[in-house]
Amino acid sequence: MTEVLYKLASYITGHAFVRHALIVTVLVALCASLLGVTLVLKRFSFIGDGLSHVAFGAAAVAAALNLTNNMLLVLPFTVMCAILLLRVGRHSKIKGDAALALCSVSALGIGYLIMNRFSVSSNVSGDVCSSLFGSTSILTLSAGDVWLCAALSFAVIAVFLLFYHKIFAVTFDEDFAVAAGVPAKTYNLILAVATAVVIVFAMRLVGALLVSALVVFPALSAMRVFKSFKSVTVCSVVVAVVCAVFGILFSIAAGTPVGSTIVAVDIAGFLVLGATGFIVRRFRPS
Amino acid sequence: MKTVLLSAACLSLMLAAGCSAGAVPDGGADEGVDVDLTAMSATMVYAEVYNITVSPADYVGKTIKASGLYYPYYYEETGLIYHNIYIADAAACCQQGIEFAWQGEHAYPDDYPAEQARIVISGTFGSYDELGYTYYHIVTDGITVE
Repeated sequence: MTEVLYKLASYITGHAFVRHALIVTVLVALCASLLGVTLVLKRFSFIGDGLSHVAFGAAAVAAALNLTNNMLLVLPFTVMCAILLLRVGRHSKIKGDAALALCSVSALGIGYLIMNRFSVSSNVSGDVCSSLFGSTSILTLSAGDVWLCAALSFAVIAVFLLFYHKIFAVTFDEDFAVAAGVPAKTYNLILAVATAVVIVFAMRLVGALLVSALVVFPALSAMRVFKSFKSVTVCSVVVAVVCAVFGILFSIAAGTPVGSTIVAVDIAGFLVLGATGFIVRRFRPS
Repeated sequence: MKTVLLSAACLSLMLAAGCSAGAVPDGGADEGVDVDLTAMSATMVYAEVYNITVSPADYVGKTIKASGLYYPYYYEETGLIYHNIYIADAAACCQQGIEFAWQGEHAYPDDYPAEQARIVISGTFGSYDELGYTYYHIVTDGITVE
């Protein structure tokens, strides 16, 4: 155990890319869990999965166009789809989960088709695998990627803190919020943009297929123990960051794939908090 | 109860963050080797090799020890055979190669391992110019077949 900790310490102090990965892991987990509580309560748990597939499709187009910085295409495209799904979608003929499924599978299918036919990479299956399961891409971030992630994460956190009460109102009862004069459409738009930004960065951490875990698990785990919006949000953030950091450190030490290891730790966290919630409810004095 | 649980969760977070503090020398690596890929986990190896290929100039002059599959490659334009060591990632979906040169007089294929043999090499990372481009490779004293 001491030897493993010793090795981990040497990796962190000796390799900039490990420090970059840890910083981005903390920021992405924090933002995903902040938004996760709202998305779960608004019955949009699966939007992370859908948007990550959209981002995969956009990344495939960027790869085919040989763009050096695929964020220029992936981020705006994913934000646009998030707005369509969260805001416009509810007023269209194809609603909710159907619209999400439509976007998700279309982007995934067309994305792979484009990658397969037009990619200039010599290892298409490797690129697809890396995009879908994250692989080690979180450990290959440049300093520029870290700064961009930090700036966007702080923007997401600032939005959440500044509009906390409005987001709370829109989350629990949108109709009542509208009646009370809250511009729900605007806040849904803000949530859509913030969700898309977080999803695009979370893809680098756990991959397109596993990104929902970062959004859903911390919120659901926190809801096992706490009941109020504030306490669930705080606990969700703590659980998300602890699980993600433990997951990536375990992955680095044991040589397991980063994304699936973080998801496994999230599952363990869910089970632990589920058991804690059960014990607390059982032995709480009536 | 909520306060206690929140405090415990926060404490766990601080402990996790605290693990990253303090300078500790590289553990498990061979003496005299700057980057020992054989002493790293599969995840770290892939990330390190990626960084070597993306920023090779940062590694010039460093001693690198690596383990992987041997792949020779013949390039018609120079008429030379280039020797590479391929290293897979933790998800086993990607692999990256580093070129190496074996110092001294060695005939291919007689003196070299069979293609796809698992080998270990150790040597100094350096650069050379060819056809107007700069290439990077490990100059090794020997090849060990595992």
